[in-house]
Amino acid sequence: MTDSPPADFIAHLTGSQRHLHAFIQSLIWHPADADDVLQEANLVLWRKAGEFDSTRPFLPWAMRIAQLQAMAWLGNRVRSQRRFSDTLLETIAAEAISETAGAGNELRNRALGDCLQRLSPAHRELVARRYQPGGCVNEVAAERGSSPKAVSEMLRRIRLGLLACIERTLSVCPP
Amino acid sequence: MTTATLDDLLNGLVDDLLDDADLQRLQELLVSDQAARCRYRRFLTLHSGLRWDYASAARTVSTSQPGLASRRRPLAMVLLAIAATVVAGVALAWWSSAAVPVKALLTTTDIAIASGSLTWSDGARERRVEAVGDQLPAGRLTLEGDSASATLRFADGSTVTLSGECELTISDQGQKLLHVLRGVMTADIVPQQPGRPMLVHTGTAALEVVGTRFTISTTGAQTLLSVEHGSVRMQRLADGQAVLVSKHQEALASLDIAHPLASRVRMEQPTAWSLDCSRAPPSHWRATWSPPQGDQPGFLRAVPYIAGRSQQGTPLIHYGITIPAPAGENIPFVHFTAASRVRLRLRVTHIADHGHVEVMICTHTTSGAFGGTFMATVPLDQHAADADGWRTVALQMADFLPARASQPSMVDREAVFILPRSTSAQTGLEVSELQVNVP
Repeated sequence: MTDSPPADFIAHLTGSQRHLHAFIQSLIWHPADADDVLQEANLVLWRKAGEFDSTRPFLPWAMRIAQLQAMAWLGNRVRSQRRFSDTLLETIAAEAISETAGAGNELRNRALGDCLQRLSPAHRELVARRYQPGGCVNEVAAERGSSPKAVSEMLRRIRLGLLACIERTLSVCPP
Repeated sequence: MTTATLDDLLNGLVDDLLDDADLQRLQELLVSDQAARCRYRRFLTLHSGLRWDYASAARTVSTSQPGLASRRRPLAMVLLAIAATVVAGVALAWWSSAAVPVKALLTTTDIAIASGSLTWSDGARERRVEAVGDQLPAGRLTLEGDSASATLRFADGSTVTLSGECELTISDQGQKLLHVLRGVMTADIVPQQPGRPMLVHTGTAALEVVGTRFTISTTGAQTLLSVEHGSVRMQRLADGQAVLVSKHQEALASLDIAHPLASRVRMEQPTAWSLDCSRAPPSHWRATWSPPQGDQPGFLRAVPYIAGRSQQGTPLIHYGITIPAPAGENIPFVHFTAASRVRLRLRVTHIADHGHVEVMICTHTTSGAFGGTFMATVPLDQHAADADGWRTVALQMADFLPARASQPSMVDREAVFILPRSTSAQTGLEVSELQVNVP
């Protein structure tokens, strides 16, 4: 631990942050909680840098560590946290990790950026307000004098449109 | 169950609008259907991605929505910062890969780099920083030169002072993030926004700073934190232990996890200290050692080191005996008073360097902040050599001149290293005795 991890490890770690965050959020839904778990996972990854076999893919290894961190986090909040069963979470994680090997995460991210730009100004504004730090449908609904359910319904249409746009570009997910 | 129903449930999940019954329905569906789980992953990936990319949507929203851009920082940047805080070395990679606008983050307010250099880089570009008032974007700062120091100010008035050999990366994407690779940094941080403490990372520790004045001294193997005002949360990276270090306290985070991480009241340093050349020096000292032979004393001989860089970037090689605390680098070990004397017994093989050698001392204040570097010049012709060539030199506090005007005196400072040195290899400087005391 005297030396910093090698540059390629740091590059892997920095390049995988977004993917790791999405993976953790699929196990822990609340965004701020996912942020915390990502932070803890990064610490563990950094400490375990010496154990990483550079001849193997980085992301599956990092995701397994992130999964352990997420499960530990959920384990500490078993009473208060709404969550899926451990069995389902393990299945979701295992499938995400196995999918990672062939998936073009960077392409997916880029596709999302392009698809966002194709939204109407009104839809972009709604997305921006919903996803800005601390944003939630209740807050947006209050600003607009609408109900949270109505705002969520608008977001549903936008999300499905974005997913369709991304899938048209990538065609990864089975029907 | 139809895809539309699944999408409704997923949408409700991410908007936190599902009741327990809906959540149970979703779980049952996901357990039984692989395609539903794939859809779930896609939906949650989109949800996460929008938190990173919401700013991309915001950029094209009409400017008639003033609250949006100005009220909050882009979350993607905050997430980057949060994630970056926990890993040493991560920050720079992000800065060089992310499309962060180049804007001034720091302003130099005080620079003393007579024989050193301060360099800014963002991975793609590099430039020397030489003048007070220079505006610097986020990036990596490298200070070279054993007597060099530089103070830089953030827009909110917070300052950081670097001294000696120091290397760090700095960013502020709604939250100040510093990664100090090596060296001594004193920070005077104004109260930060709630929930966004300044984050400082070294190879061995992670610090959270809300608003305080503190100093860190770090090498690859340890980080010493001294707090002058306020408090700082320090986490030891080796095992995750954390401690709150308060006013007038210090804590040392190293790779050794056998002992609990603890804060302690900053110890007063003795006013007397002496070099013992009868035994081999600690491995972190820079010198070669000759053990005693017969009636000849043991002594330390100067070795070459990079003292700084010229305007053209050429290394300036000096020859010195670097004497830090036996316990480790950047740890104070002797206190200077107005009456302190520094006594040396030294020898040279040739009288070069215009007939003098120098004694440089780098100091901290008693509260742990950088206290300045000071230099005394020793004209050899004023100190007669004995039959074996040894000369005895006694220096008073007034003999030591400051490297920067803002730190004019060595009185009430604590030495973190003492460096007898010459600028010529021919000098062949050797030291057999060095004492600090108050007669």
